[in-house]
Amino acid sequence: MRGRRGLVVGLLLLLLSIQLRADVIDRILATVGGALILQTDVVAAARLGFVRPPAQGDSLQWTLDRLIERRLMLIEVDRYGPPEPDRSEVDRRMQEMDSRIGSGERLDAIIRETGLSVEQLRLYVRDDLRIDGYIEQRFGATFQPSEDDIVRYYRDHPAEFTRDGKLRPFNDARDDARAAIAAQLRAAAVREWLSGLRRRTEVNVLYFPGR
Amino acid sequence: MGLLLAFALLVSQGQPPAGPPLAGQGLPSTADYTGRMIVRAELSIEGQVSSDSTLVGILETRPGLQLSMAAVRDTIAHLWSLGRFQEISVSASAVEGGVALRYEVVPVHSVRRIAFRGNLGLGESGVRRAVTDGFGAAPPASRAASIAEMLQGHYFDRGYLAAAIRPVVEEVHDPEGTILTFEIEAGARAAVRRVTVVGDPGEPKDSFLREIEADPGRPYQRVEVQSRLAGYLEQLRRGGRYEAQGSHRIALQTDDGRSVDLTVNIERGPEVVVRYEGDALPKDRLEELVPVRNEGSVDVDILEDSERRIVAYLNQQGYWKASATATRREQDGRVEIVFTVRRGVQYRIAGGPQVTGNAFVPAEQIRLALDTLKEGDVFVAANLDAASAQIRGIYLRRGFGRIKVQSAANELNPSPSGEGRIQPVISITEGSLMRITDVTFSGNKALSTAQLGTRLAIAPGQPYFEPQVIQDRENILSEYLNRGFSTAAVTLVPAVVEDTGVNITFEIVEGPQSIVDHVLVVGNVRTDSRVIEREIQLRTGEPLSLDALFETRRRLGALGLFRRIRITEIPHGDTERRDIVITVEEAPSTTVGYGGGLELSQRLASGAEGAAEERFELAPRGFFELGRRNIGGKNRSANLYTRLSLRADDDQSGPGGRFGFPEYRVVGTYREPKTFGWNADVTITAALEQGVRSTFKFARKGINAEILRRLSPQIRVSARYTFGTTRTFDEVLTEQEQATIDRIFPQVRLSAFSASIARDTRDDVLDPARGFFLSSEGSIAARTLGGQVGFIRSYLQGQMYRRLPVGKRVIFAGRVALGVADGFPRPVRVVAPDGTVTEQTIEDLPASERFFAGGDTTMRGFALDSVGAPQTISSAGFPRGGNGLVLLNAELRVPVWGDVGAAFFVDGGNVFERVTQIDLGNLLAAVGLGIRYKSPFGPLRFDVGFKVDRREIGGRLESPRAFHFSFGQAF
Repeated sequence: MRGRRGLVVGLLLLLLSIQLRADVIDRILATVGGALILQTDVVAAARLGFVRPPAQGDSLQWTLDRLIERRLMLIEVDRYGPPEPDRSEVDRRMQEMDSRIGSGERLDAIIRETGLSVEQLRLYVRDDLRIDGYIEQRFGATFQPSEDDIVRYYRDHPAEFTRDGKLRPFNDARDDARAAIAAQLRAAAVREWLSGLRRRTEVNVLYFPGR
Repeated sequence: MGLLLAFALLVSQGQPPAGPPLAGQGLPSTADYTGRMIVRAELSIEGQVSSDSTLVGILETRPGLQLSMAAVRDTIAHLWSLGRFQEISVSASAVEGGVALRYEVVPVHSVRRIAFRGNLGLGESGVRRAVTDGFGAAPPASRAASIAEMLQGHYFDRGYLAAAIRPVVEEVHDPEGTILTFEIEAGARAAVRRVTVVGDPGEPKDSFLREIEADPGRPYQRVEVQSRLAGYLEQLRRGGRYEAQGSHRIALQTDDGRSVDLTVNIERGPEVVVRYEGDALPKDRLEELVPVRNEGSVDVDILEDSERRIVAYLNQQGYWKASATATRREQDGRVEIVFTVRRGVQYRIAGGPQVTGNAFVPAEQIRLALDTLKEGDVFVAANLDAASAQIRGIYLRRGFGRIKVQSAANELNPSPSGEGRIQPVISITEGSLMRITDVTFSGNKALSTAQLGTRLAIAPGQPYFEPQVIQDRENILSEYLNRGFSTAAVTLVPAVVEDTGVNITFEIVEGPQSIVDHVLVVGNVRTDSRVIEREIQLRTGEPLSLDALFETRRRLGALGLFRRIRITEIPHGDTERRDIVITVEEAPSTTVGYGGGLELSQRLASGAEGAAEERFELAPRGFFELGRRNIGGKNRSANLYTRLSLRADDDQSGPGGRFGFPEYRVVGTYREPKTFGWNADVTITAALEQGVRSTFKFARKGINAEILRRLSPQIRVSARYTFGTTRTFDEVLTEQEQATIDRIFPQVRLSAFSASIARDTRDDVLDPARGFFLSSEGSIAARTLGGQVGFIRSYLQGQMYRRLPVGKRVIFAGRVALGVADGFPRPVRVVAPDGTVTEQTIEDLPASERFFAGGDTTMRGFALDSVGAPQTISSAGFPRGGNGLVLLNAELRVPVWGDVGAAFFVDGGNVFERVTQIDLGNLLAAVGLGIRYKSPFGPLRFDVGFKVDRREIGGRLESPRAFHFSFGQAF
């Protein structure tokens, strides 16, 4: 009798907990210069493949960090007003997104579950292109490593220039080494720029893992 | 994603390797809820469900609708836009029949107090100052981490290399707020252990290190060392070592942060001596012409710049062929810079400039560009170039796109005194007149070519006039901005066709269109939201127009209710919809004003034999004002204004009573804007006043009600009803000289309706520089309305202000005014001095309603009210006023120096007894000049006017001049 009562109470509690279960469907995760980054923005960016969260770790945190950086760059880009990206380039990126997702139904589901529209996605892609254009213009052709730097890089990174167990001759690998150094320098410069943007902009992060 | 994705990967050093492109597993999902019927939607503020209609009203997810995440996002954006919440989250739970939504918001907890605890190491006031300097006295709690980071740097700079700083945010309630505490463990301050000095400081290493506070054993303070080193370098530069350089860095820091090894680099550079040979330069200009000390360098670029500056300076003085050469000599660690300056002969312009080749533009217009090339002026080649450019501009503006203007300086034989002589020659090749052949647009999608065409003033066939084309481009751009295309760009591309035509293409990049989503008003506590909303020109669903934004701000400002108005656009994520948040800060409801002034004027007064005499009068005055605005939150206002003047009595002979308060004014005003929902303001005024005119004093009490409506920002119309009594007393005129009506009605009751219309385009009401003011007012008073006399009266005036295209900021101001009035006939019984009673019909206006002229705002060569045709002046010289008035004023306002200006004026006009006697050939005139001072309170004015023809009044010639000192312009 006692056991049956306990079972009933347990069942009732279970039902009640199901009934009371509430999921956070959206919230503000961060504000960057007054602009909001919502949970649905983060989910959309990850599910649409605009960013690629790591397989391990906190996907939400990682994606949020990328979106904060993107917004910081966008604020700077808007200040300088680069030329409008070509419509065909926006179309191409949208097609890339479609092929990443695989089917129209999946895209519809993502749109429905995140509250974004196709027009908003186009604007997102457009802004990405504007950021790319700005970074290319600002940091594109600035970094020209010296011959000594290229030789040093080639010596210090033999694995990068080894194919089928054989180290490529320096003359053959020179252009790749130069490109690798330029990319490193550019990434460092962009990091520095971004860190400056972050110092100058009010960034409030409201996402605390586990909360 | 290209670069951006690559960048994202690059900046994520230390992160695990990237996963598959379609990662998203583990992220929150809303699939269980979207599309389901919303059964309940509530808003909870820190756990308490809110019924605030403003908040609940902006929830887009209403019961009965299907749950759309777009609506959820929009609602979050709206709530955030209010600026009241620092956190917003939305949770959903499945309930019977659908889904229940709960918006959980956390109000902004502003920081009420900042506290520090632990081992601070540094003084608390200095640490607090660092926080408030960087983040303000009440930073948002969300900035706590940034503040801690800043403090870390602050401590590092002061030798605490391993300080631990932890922010603690503690929320408190009732009232809401946050206490922001920084727990600080400063640790040990680092001491300097070893120092390596690279370079020669010019003195023993020990004393050098002591001077820059970097000697071993001393606590290390980066900021202090940096500042001391900068001082040391400055000292070296002052001693002529302009290229001295220095820096320091931490070479090694021990793990416990207790000591550092430093490297100090010091490069004294050579000792530099600058000498000048040849012709002397003014000593006070040397620092500016040769800025080696300021620049801290004597490199080749600086020296070449200095040479150019010296030559340009001498050229400006007319030394056309001046030269300057810098030579650098180095010897024994010293650098000697020698500037050899040769001024040569000073050149002057002989014979004026010679201009050839102009056929289309007449010589008189070309001459305007040659102002700096007058005969006898020193010759400055730059002026000749500027004149050529100006002439080129004249032609370009007229459509001569191929214009060529060449200039040369023809050197003539020197003058007998040895001065050089130059005749400037300007040769013009006009080329053909270019006309616009075609106007096209590209890139326009939202606006059709026909729509854009209506914004253009240019058209095919017209001469190509560049400023107009540029203006048209601006017009097109503003059309786009007013349609919400805030990033629109319009580029002008002119293409020459067969040398005589230009095809104009406006290349348009429209960008996205911003649409107004919600307009939210925040910050009004006392003010009724409807009062604000009716001034808002932005509408939900309409494009975000720039003009509407400006107009909204202007209208809200014009309400006079707010100390600050901020309009912010809040974007909705990546959409082009914008919430418009209007944040107002209400001004205090009660206003108190008081002040004082001094009036200096020339008035008529009775002289020894009763004749009119002009006297200076000094009248101190004070006012007090008490106002209450925004009554009931409806922008109604009530105001009480009182003014009192101290004046000398006319009769100065008796003992005591030499001064009194014959002038006072008490006015109570109640104003109700947008009365009864009309677009018009009603003002009710009750006034009690006593005043002094030249021939009488008056006491008036009355009430009037006025309704005023603005048809446009410039045009206003008003209607007014006035009821009051005016009593005149202390008349200077004898009974025989007085108008009959004044004798019969020493106290007269008036009941009148009046209407006026005015157009005001002046840029500044107190001190206008351009624009017009045109007004027309008509009044009718009648016995049937309850008054004792009847009349009609009209006053028309036009004022014009224009900046003249000569000199610097010279303003022409002009006024024409006409006043006409006529009394309605009224039979009265008149008792003669001998006691006989007669019936007469009078048609006069009461003295208080008649026109007078003369004084600081009408005719400045005359004392107050003293202007008038002979019929309006008594035998003793006192004015009686008249039914007709003509005023003509012209004034040039010329800036002289700083806030001081001069004015030259001509005033004309007269007062006539009857309208039928108005005679433009019988006007009095005065000329004069004055001084203006733009004080912080408005323009102050001193004028002296001279009568053109002095009249003989009462057997005496009137005074030739009159002085006036007052506030504000004459008109």
